[in-house]
Amino acid sequence: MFLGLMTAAWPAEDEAGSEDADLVARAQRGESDAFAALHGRYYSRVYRLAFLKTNNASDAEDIASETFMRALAKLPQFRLTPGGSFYPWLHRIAVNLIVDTCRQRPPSGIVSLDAPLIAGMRDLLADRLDGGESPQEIVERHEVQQLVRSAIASLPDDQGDVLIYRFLGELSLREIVPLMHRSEAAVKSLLHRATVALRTEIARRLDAVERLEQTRGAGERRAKETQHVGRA
Amino acid sequence: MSDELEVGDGQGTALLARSALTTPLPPPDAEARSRARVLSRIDGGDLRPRALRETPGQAQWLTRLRRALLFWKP
Repeated sequence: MFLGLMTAAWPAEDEAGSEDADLVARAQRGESDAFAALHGRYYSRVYRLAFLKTNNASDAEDIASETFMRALAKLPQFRLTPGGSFYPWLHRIAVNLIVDTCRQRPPSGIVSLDAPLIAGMRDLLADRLDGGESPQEIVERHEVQQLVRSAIASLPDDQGDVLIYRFLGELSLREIVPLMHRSEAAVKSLLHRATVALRTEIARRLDAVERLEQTRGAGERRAKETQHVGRA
Repeated sequence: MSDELEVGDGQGTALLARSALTTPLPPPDAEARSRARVLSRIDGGDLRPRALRETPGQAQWLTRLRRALLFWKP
């Protein structure tokens, strides 16, 4: 009977107009539809964070689900910062789970990129957004995303965190301030440094991929020449 | 989204970072599974509406009833 009651109270879609503070307060009062709305609002972000750190879809699903279970269990003790987002708390829970479960598994960063794609990425890194291939087409390529994710994962923790809060969490600088215990100017400076470091790291990885492709190409040429000589 | 970045100061890098961080989408049924799991916990946990939770008095009464049923022999 109770299950039916709860299912009926489950919302068809996220309560987009509601603020997090309102949803949290209602969830703490026992309104399941409010927690459902928070789940709907943040599930994708938590999943992506877990995917970023584990590079594994099954692990990401398990971690995302467990994050909400732990949040639900600890919800009575949770206090939301006025005007703040529910996401940072979920982020911290998810990071603990990720550390617990995947400590020994570094994300893979070995990718293969063709020459035009490397050139397109170099254009993007140099802020030449009107190069040959459309920036959107470049950034949507799976292998590009894999390379960038592994580059982000290799940055110092604070730089990786600020990029994740900003671009995955969609938090403003002001919302990031209390999470990183820094002033707004310091967060802005950190975001800038993180962007520069990411650019350098991606460029370094592009160099490595390019060298690998050249070596591979030279090896194939030598093999063909050897075959040719053998036949002659 | 790159409003904190100056023009010519990493916009392309920010574009790459945002795209890499906002993909992939979770599998379509993953969110539903997680929601069902949460729903199941809510069903038996502390998030039940207050009206449906046992008051301390009810809890004591139910404990006595359960004990009585445990030792009851027809």
